[in-house]
Amino acid sequence: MVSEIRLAKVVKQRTVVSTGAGMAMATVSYSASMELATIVLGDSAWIAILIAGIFCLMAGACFAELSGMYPTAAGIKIFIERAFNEKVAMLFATMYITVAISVVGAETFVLARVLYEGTGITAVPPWAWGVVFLIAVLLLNVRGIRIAGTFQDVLAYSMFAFLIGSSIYAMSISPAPLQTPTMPGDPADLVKAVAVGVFLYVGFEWVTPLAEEVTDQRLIARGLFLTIGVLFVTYALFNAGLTMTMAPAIQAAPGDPVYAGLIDAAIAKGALPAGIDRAALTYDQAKQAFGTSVIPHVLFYHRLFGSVGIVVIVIMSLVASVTSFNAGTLTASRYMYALARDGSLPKIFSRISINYATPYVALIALSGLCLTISLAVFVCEYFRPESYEIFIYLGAFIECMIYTVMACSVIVLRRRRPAEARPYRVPFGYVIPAVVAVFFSLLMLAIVVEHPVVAVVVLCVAMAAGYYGWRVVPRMRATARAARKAKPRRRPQRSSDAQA
Amino acid sequence: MATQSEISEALADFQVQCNENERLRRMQRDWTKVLHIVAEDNDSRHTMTVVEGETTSVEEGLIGTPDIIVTTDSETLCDMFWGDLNPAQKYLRGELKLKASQEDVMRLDAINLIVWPDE
Repeated sequence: MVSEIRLAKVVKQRTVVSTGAGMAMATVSYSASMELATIVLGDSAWIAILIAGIFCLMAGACFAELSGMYPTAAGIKIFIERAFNEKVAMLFATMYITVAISVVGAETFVLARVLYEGTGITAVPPWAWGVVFLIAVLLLNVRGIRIAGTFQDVLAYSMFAFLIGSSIYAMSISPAPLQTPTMPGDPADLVKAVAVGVFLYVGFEWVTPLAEEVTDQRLIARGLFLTIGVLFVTYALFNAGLTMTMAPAIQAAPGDPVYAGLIDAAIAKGALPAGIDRAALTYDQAKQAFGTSVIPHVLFYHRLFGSVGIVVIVIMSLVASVTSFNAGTLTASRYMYALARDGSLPKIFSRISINYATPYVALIALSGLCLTISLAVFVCEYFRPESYEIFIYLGAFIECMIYTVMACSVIVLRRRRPAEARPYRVPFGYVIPAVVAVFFSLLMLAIVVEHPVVAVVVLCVAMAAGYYGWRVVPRMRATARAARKAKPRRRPQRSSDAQA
Repeated sequence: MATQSEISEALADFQVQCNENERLRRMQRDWTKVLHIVAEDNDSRHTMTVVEGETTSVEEGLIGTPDIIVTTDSETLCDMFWGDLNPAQKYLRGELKLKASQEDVMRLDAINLIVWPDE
């Protein structure tokens, strides 16, 4: 049997984890982590991260069951197609890829600010840093250079080790003890924090395309769970280290030009009252001020390790962004290429570079989309500071959507194809998929209530994807089918067929 | 259901098509792989060896440790290697299963596209 055959080169467990965790840990995660910390009281952010992690774990279990059944890089589309139908699959898969790409806007924006302020080369404006970065990643991808395997493992695990180690160190030298670590405050705020918490895990499920590179599907299931564990520990410690270092620092020196600017921004945003006594800021008020920073991690590491800290965090941000972008755009471009080959997208997207064997048109189109969205973020930010956060909620919404759809797919497939082999099966019957579907649906609702613009964007994308899938694709496919029929078959006819 | 010899015939033609295609040889100049081709509805098994872009052999049976495993039904295998079927469609529907790195999955379809370009 095929499953008994070993491949010459297989992906190992550590690479499955480094891929998932590396995809999730992008530069914007640091800002999102701080955003989460400002929503809850004191140092209780870990509770929201844990709740989000537990539900992502359950969603991961659903992915694991589906990925075991259909171990393919085109997974998400096939899971939904088998459970529902092709049009529904096209709709959700396209929305997922499109909106996931839009998170790139927020990522580029934050990274550009890190490079602008971290390198000290202020002659180059942030938007230009963003453009240079996107072009560099495009060139890397067109040349088919993929940060993968052992190199990716070293990068990812070094990053996580540094974040965990430095966070523990920061907590140990903090002048303030942990503040109300078990009391997050208003339950409504906790729900909001959990929504942002989900964003912190965005991308962990991108290990499913590795299903074709492992011979034992249980590695994918285990990898999904380990990824969530690594991310939880890292984010929880990083968040505590961040706030325990920076909130007391702002309380101690509110007149510092950088901190004063943050307090001004918090007042302008309405997070702090206008007439606040700056010399008597509480821990949570100082945290609110720090939460207005787009680059909290740069300030954190500068405070912790001086200029060396800035160098390290700039390098780490670059590594985080490059690995996420590299893997993300390569996978997305191949999906786009496959759709073009399938006749669901214009043929131009299936053009291949003969020199590098990469789908260069799909890559250029994706990079163009990333660039457009990134520039849109810069423009929005110019008129309304912190509007990049909308993209974080957009990412969180779309993740919630896909987790809900995956959970429904598990339920439907268990009823429709009960006998199909499942190397991994989510335990406790329908309970976990049902909980995932309900929880993430409610979270989607909470996000759109808080940020109606997210609903508008998703609705627009859904309508465009729906129209395309229902009206345009069938026409394109019919044309492709007709062209194929017109071509004479090359395969020789069997004598028995000829007689018939 | 296609027989082992029908698949062998299709693979032999595919080998010629690949080796005669200059663009493909250029693209695959650094590609050295062992492919196992498995029909899931009968006992047909083949091994194809590609060395620096040249398909050096197509043999019956599974030989050596593969870099890529292609699994589907025998009819699909036949149609695919004769160029009468677009493998991407089968792949996106989960009817064509691959075990390989993402780069190699991409390359496999690219080979098909270059040998039998869409009109």
